[in-house]
Amino acid sequence: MWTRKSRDCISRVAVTLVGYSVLLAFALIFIFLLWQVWPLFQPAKISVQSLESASVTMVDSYSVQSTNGHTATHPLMLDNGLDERVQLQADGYFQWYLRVGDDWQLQMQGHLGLASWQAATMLSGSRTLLVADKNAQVYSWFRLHQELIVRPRITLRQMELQALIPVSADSFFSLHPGQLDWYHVTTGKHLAELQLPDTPLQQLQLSEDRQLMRLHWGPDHSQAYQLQWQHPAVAGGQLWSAVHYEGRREAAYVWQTAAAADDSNPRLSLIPLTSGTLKAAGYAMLFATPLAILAAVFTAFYLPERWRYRTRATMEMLESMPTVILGFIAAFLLAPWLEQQLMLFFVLLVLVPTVLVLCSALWFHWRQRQQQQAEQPGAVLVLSLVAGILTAFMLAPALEHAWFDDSLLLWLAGQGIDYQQRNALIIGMAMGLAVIPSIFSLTEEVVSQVPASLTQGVLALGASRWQTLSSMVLPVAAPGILAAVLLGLGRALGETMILIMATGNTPLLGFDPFEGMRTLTASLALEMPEAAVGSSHLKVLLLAALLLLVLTFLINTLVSLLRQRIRQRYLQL
Amino acid sequence: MRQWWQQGSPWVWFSASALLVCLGLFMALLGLIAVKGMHHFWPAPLVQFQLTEQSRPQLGRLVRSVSDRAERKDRAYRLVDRGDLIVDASSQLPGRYLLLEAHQLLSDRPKQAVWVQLQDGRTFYGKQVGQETAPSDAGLWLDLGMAAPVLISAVEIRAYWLPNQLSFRQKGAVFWQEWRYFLTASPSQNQSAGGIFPAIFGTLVMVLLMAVLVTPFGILAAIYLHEYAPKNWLTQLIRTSVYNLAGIPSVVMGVFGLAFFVYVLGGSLDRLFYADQLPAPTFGTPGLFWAALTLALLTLPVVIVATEEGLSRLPQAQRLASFALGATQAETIWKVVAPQAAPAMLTGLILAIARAAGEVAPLMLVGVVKSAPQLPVDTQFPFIHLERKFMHLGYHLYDVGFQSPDAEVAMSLVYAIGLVLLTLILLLNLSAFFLRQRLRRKYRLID
Repeated sequence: MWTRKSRDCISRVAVTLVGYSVLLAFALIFIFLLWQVWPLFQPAKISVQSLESASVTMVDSYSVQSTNGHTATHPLMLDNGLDERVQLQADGYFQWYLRVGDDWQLQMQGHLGLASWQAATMLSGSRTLLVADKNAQVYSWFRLHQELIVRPRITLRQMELQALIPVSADSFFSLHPGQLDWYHVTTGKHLAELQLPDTPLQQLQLSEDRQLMRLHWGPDHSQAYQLQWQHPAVAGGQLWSAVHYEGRREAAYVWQTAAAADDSNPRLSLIPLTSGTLKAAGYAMLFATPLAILAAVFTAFYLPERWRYRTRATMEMLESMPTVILGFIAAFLLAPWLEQQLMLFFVLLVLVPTVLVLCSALWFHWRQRQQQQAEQPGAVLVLSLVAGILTAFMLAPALEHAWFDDSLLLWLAGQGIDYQQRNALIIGMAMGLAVIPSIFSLTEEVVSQVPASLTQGVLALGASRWQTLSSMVLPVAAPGILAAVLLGLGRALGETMILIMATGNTPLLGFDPFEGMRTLTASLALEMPEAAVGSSHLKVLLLAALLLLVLTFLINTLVSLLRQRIRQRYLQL
Repeated sequence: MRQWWQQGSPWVWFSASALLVCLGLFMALLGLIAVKGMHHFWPAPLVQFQLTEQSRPQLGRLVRSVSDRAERKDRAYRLVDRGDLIVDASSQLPGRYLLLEAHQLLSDRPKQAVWVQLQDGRTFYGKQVGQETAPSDAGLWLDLGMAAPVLISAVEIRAYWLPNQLSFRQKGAVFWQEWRYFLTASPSQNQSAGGIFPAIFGTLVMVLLMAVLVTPFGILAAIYLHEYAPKNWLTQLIRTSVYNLAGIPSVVMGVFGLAFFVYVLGGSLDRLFYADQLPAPTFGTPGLFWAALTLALLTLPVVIVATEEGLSRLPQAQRLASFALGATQAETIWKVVAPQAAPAMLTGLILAIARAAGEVAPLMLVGVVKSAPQLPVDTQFPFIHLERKFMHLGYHLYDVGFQSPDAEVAMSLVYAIGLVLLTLILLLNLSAFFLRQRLRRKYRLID
């Protein structure tokens, strides 16, 4: 007796534990990703470092007096430690040199447009010149060939400025009496500050990796500090806002990983990828939603039971079609075909519905003349569909000849529209095909489960089948259909293989149907294996994964709420 | 006209044609893959062509006709495959595939045209000019359109036939032979020739390992949800998480697999047990086990949902009868409920396997490679090498299609791989479908 009871108990505990572990697994995914992404949003910090680790060699040292604008000798010679050098006069006149071999060649000269300035520096290892004027404004310029490009101004503390000190390729210190501030040039953000003792600072030293700093106030008074700034590529809000990077004419949203960037500083704006994901999903839904919903409504409401069952089973089967196959067909068959037959595609899009409407009207008219009920005959419908498609095939070359001088593509190019072979239309069709079964199945289920008492009541009142459908069934089933569309959207947002294969994978902004895109999912699949462990790139990719997770979580929750609601509604009826 | 509109006639026509278009597109897609995939193995006739009036006639396989509309000239070209070329100093030949104009093709289809494939995957098309029968260097003398005939040693030849002489039946025999070779051989010639056996094997091993991981968990979780779970907010939460787990994009699961399983779990395993081999990672790098684990997490909801559906179809009366006879809950579940729901569990498992076999994106992150030097299962201890990387059908398809230097060679091969993958998945789904049908019918009778 004891063993039976204990076995029962053990079974209960074990099964319950497994049940809970599902919840744990789901929570773990969330929490793990959050925990990984968290350091991205850690602000920069300057903290006091104990002396024993201060044995790191300091490679750059700045004695404070020499760069002070009041006492500095004019003209001031600045260089970036590599191959660029600027000579700056007291009145703002500059000469910009580039090292070629062993000599310095003058690249450009001119006037900065400032009447006077109090401190200036060049960022180490970059082409940016920083100049502070008398009103605590820091201007930054960089040289692009023979041109100076201005970047956003940075406003410093209203205190006496002692020096500007370059820290890295895109950050600098401003040194005031008793105060040190750390700024990010690219975004103009104030990163961190440090209170200093009142004794005048004599020297500032930086280690090569820019993680240690030592300040000297005298021969035997010095202190080491740690500079903590783990993810400069995303620290200043570069993820979601336009940033004016060095080497570009204006602020832009850029996704460029370290391997692709010219100076190996990754540019990680998530805007191009997110817009790519939305664009791809949008075009897919545009293609799939009408087709799937109409087809599902017809299946549920008009097809005889046997055929309905078969159609549903087929669609369920097609839902498991591997998307890698769809992607391959899209990239190697559909894309070249559409490039050749773009005109045919548009003609089909317009002509087939028109022919269908015409044929249905003619058929209706003819049946009425014969005094018969206008039932919907399958054969005539198939014939008119085929007729529409054939007409389009015959008409398209003639129309292309007449309107676009034989080539729609050349005409588009003439209008300044860039047609890429792997574009949003292709994605719309291929990914549309991938989400049609999901939308179809749920819509069909919801529409066919509308209580028979309702539909029969409406039919008994003399309404036609279509009137029953449009005035009764669809409004009742609306939340369910919305759930179906959302389910499809969730699938489209998370789809990967089709997007890797048929989008061209160029991060582009905008919703142009003839251009490709790069999506969050494609970036994840292609870049994750190459991103170094612990790098900003990897963390941003994890952030992208988290974003997708949250998005699909919201959509799925909404779907399950809607489904619950429609189930209750059917029960009440 | 008014009546026509009121009766919704155009809308009915629209929706009917929407259904036709949906099904038509899918059927066209399936048909296309089937036809093109099959075509890859059907021996094509060899044609003779001449590059210039003076040059020697060569043999090639006619791939397809190409019309170049971009040039606005309606010149028809023929794409001809010349096979792999033996390059000698005298012939400065352009690549394997040639676009020929109609007049360059000679009408004559020589009877002695031979199609030879070597053991290393290279293919030659040539005219047979003689046979060497001496036992030391037996082989075929082929005229490959070069200055002198070439002797191809019999030892190197994998298969050869004379396609222009084959009857329909003989072609059928060649077709099956090539299929068998394709399914059982390893890829060669930088994936563009040979078979796909390692990819099929890798897929199967990974999927079976995944099944071993996911089955107990999925079934126990379903039993908990249906038999034990009280009706409260916690159960609701578990249900929500099952539902949302099913909706997580597969690539996100792959990201989690790489960042958590491989980097965190694998990294710690390496530090604990394989410290002597560091920094070369053992488990801290993508591999078979992590791929199976990731896909197990991905397919967990499939098993749970299918099992729970099976459990809910079981009549409540059976449970009550079991309790009335004095059985405990555990006995009721394990001796009455679970055995009867076994087909449902099997259905869930098959569906999970079908899903896993078709996934590619997460696998790209957690362990699939384009070509693995060793199979994940072999005769060396411990026989199943969980840390090895493996090949996978879906990824192989992607890799051959997109990374291969010669897109034309890849095209027809990719269709063949796609056909194998699609057949595998459709078969799995069909069996799950019929299993579920049978189960439903059975319990409808009991009810």
